[in-house]
Amino acid sequence: MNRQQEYNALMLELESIPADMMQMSAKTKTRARRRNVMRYTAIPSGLFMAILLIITIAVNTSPTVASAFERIPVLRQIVTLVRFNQSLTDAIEHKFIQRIDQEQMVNDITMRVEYVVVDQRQLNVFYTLESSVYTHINSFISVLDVESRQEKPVSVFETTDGDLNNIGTLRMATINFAREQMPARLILKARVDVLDAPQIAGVLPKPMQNLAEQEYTAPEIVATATFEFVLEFDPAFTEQGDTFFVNQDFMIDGQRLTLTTVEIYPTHMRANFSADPANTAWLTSLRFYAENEYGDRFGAISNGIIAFGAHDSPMMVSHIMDSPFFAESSHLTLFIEQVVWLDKDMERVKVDLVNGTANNLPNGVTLSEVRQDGTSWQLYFAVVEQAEYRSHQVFGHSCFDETGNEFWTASVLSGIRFNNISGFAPGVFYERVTIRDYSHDVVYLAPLYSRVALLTEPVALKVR
Amino acid sequence: MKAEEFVNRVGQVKPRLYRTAILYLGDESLAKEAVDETEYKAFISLKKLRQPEYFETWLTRILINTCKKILRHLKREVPYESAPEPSAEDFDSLPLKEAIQKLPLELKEVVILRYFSGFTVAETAQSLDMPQGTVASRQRRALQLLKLELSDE
Repeated sequence: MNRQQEYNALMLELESIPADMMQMSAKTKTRARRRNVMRYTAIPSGLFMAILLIITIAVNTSPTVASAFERIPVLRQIVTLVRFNQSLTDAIEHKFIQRIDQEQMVNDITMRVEYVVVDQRQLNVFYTLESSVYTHINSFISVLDVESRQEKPVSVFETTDGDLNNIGTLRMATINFAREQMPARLILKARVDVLDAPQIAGVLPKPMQNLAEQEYTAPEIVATATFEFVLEFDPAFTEQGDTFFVNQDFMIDGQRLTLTTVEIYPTHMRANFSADPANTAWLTSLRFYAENEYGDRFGAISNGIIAFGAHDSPMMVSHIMDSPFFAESSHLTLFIEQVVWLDKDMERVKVDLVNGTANNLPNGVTLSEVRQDGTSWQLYFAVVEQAEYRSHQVFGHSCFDETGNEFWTASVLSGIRFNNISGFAPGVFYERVTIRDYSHDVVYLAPLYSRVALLTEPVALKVR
Repeated sequence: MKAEEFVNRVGQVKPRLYRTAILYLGDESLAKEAVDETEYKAFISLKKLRQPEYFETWLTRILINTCKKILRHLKREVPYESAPEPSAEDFDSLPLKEAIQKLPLELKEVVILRYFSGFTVAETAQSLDMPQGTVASRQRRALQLLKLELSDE
């Protein structure tokens, strides 16, 4: 066959594409919806933390590591899955990964824990859920103490390259130990809810919810399974991490903060701040990066938990960044470019539901419309983008009545164009706050910020 | 562009995206992943597309960048599979599909878009964000290496 014939044959071969390719549109929508939920939803955590949403050592000599690279195809999937997380990518490149290789089957679902990337404060579990019967599931990961079986106060963020509801894809659960050290052993618990009838019954999964126009309604759960794996970690991994005591006071946008410590782990870096009680605003978010002597930059992580809050205030005290752990550098400086505040007198803002008015809203936010449907309310806020084409969440999920009783909003959905709101302007997105079963005329919302300060000159803080 | 229109238009160009990806990456599962990732990235940044008439070249640009990222990570991940860059003579002995994958990236992306995905020189230039003259010279060089005689039209 000459080159021309080869070309014709190749063109013919390329005419056929895999049948499942055309199914990805629904998958994309689901990913996008999940991204929005994960990115813009503040999730309540355990006793201590409020968590704001939306990872060369001598391990080369460890026998655990020696066995870790026996399953190259899975590792290949793992590398692909973590490709947007520079710290985890670096960790895996440096063979900072432990093979687990445990499998259980419960109610026609098989859960297999393949590998972990673990250090002093973060555990990343790579696992699969497979079934010959079911196709769509929800999984909920938690961590138990081996002896007491008490649930540990950790935050969990689940990731996959596909749809988290689909069975069969490699998943990653990132489990942050905000204050506790990583234990030598723990129980990884996974509760799996099956969302579809068995394939053998010929029942298809429920159709997608419309992203913008419909409220999320929980799908019917047709079966459940609970898995518990005892994971035992190689100390060569769980010992890794350094804390640098900085204790540097600085003024930023008229407020006094202290960079107290910087914790550098293989999987992530934490910059920890305290604030002068006399400040008039709480620190809620930072745009920052760290730079070493070689000019390598380590920025805020792009996906996952970006900060940990204080237990007694709205301040976000611990800010997560990519890690220079494997960079083998001896100098590190933190540069703060932008700071987001919540003014202390704006922790709650009043919305008059009857008259459709609100005062003292965060900068760039206006109340666009209030709609009532029985005892349910929908509040539409127009929000000026802080960066082009980027939306952000304005209000938290708590709201209060006139006497201070706390309610939970049914949903806070931001960044999506709502087609039933007219006059969608460029540079503006809408946030919709839905409150159900609310019979008062006034509601107090809890903003996540009140203003953003972009610094003309970055604040430089030497870490080491 | 509304989500429904997006889904319809992506559906129309998906075979072409897949052809581009599989030639670029040489692996069906990676190609599917690249197309999936492209669709997702495009969907979440749809507002960036100010001129809908450039939808396909915009998607292709996202796809090419996604393929490059995947290749970079594969190179990091599996050093055992890496092989030395073949010399010009080596292309003669390779089947066409493999020879395309062994081309230098800057030639490969041009030849795939021009002769396998059916893009014009102008569309290829737009997708790859380069002058049309560069596309023309790279396609000539790629065809020389592949010993292929295809129309310039």
